[in-house]
Amino acid sequence: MNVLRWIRLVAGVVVLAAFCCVFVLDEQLVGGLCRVLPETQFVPSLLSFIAVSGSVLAVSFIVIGLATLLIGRAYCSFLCPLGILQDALLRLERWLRIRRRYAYRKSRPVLRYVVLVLAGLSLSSGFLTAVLWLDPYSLFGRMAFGLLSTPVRYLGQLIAPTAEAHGILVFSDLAKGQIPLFALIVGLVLLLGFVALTLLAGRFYCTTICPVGTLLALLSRHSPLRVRIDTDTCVHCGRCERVCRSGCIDGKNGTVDYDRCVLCFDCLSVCPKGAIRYASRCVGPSVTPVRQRRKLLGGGLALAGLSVAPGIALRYAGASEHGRSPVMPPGAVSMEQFKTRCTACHLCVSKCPTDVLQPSLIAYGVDGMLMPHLDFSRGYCEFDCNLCSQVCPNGALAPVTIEQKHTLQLGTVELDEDLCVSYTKNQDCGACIEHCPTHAIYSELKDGVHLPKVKPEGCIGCGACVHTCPEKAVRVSANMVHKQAAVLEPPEPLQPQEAPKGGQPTDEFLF
Amino acid sequence: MSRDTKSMDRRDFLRKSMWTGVASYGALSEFEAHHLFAQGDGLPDMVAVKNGEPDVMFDKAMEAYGGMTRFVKKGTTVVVKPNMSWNRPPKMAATTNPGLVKKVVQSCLEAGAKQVYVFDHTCADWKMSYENSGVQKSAQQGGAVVLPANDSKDYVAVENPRAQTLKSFKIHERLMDADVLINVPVLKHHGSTGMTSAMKNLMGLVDDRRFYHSNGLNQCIAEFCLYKKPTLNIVDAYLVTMKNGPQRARPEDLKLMKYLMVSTDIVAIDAASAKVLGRKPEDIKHVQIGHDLKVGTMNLDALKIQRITL
Repeated sequence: MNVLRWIRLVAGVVVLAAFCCVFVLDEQLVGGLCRVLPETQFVPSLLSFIAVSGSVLAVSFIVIGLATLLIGRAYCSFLCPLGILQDALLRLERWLRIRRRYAYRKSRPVLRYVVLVLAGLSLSSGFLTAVLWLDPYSLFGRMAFGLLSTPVRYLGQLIAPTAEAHGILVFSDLAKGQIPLFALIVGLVLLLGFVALTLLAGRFYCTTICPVGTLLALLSRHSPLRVRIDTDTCVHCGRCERVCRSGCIDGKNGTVDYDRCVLCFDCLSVCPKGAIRYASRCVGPSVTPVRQRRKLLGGGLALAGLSVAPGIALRYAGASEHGRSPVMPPGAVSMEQFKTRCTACHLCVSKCPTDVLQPSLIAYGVDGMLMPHLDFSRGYCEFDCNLCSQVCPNGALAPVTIEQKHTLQLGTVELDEDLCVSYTKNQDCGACIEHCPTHAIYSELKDGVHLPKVKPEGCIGCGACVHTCPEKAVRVSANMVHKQAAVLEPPEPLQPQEAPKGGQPTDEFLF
Repeated sequence: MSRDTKSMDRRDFLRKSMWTGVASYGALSEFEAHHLFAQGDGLPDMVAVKNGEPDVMFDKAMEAYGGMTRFVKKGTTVVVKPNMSWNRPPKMAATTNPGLVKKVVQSCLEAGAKQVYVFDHTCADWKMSYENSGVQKSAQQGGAVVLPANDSKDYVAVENPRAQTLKSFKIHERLMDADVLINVPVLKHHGSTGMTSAMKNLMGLVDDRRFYHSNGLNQCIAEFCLYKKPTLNIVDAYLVTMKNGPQRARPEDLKLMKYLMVSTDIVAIDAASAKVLGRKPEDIKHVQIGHDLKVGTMNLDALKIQRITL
């Protein structure tokens, strides 16, 4: 067994487990890991860099690029959670004896560069749909949160009673709320897709579709360290080709198309002659680089442009006729900016303590599918919480301080008096009034009933009133651009009462 | 003392005389009879302490009220229900004083309780409220088991046959097996009910708070007590939210009253709470309804109240 392969296996298990924890466990349990690990990924760090988030980790993509120049696409097997997930699926398929052999596949440069150019255009134009659907980290995040949060919550419910008896409440939180059904379906669909893809063609996604993979492939082309076959000792037995999940080893000719090689090192351990090595010294011809890059690039650009154009048109058409816009999480700043930065990885969704952040279907338009929005039927945005803006690795949610959050207006309240029990049944309810953190909903006494009234200018759109209203009489109308809410003075007390007196209490009792 | 309070006292005096008349006529309700005669051992109906720290006032009050062993017997299971419903720090007094909760828990355990549970169906996110109110930690330090109470699965359906509105509802399961319920509210002004103290605090034991809001909040609050009355009520009126309650009070809305009351009569202790808040008991609708339903009495003059000033 090859040492490098062992390292890859251990690193894979550790990284995959860490990413799973980041996406399913409570912030208190994973701590700083959920702020650090996601931003070590290529696309999030690149987006964070573009957004000038000021985060040190925003240079991760440069480090990854430089490393790839030297050692090849190690990122794809050691650090990319989607790559490692596919490795895990392949292992599972092998254990289940569904698929055990691979064969050399020709590179598909047209497809690869078209996808890469498309992703590049998507990134530079700010029309992020292509990145949202292609970024390996975001695809993984959606699967991890969607598929694992449900079982983990069930597990939490099993552990919780025992833990509670010992004063530990952290597991009780995993049991909270409803099951995120929509996220579960999204995760399931994506997983099935990847199961099918890995069954049919190993790590086809990484070698042919993934734009990060293709970009790193370009860099790895010149790396001194690479998997090489020593043609002198090679007996052309084809074992290496049969284990190559990337389909990049041509056993007959003894060549490796190393820009698709993800450095899984399986071939090293199966070679009976020790003819395959990961080395810097050239031991034989192993290259078949594609030489039609320029032509391809032109074609790819044209194709990408063609495919992006209708999408952009759709987006602007959609924006004008939006009747009800989604309420965006704090730090999103504006609809326009949020849509150019969010890749719907669902990390913020997984960390939201009240469950108010949920993946949307098409609330942001077809181009912004699955982006997170505030769903007040699930929860409300806690006044003293800014966690989502703290964990976003893309800089799509700019960090917001608790102070800023207190006056950050995500939307404004609307009260429908025809539905409110205080108006229709003439009775005290006051649920919205007592939950409102800003006095944007206050009460006016009329015929002995506390009637709710609204001052939208002081509303921050947290939805505490919407979530608590028993009659669905309040709603929040989203701000397309987040604003500054007015700081409201509390209304005067409704009933005449003794003014609060300071100083030392007297000896006399009040009753 | 202001002129307002004086006139209020006069009215109360009249009401008291009326009550005494009725009582002497022998037409006392079962409840009033309990208060006037059942406690022949000389113990008061309510103890009110002022001008001390919460834990010290609690000790004084319990000493005068016959000690915790009067309510908590050996080997019993106790539920202590504080108010920890909001994500606010202890200094804002939107939640029960953590030191007081700790003291109450300790006192139950010292009296021989087998297990003390502390929970609250919170309004704000439960975890943040439990932590930031400081109550979870202090209750655990006191030796209690703190449980979450925001999941419907932890609640069981019960019937309340004597009620008109709150006829059936779901109550926290731990309350079903508990022998003793000790209610430890914090006194505050409240935007929807005028005041929150002992009766309103029990809303944190039920699953569907929205039902209360849409079907007559004050009626439901009072009717809960037809189903279950706490064994003992301990009102924390140390730092009192005088306006902008229950959770948006500014520091200037708080007043250092330094009161603590203990009583088995939940209506009486709420009537006393109202007066601390500068309100008339009959102006707080759920207190009036509780009185009318004979849950207890808001007639403080009919009660034996021991007042202790530290």
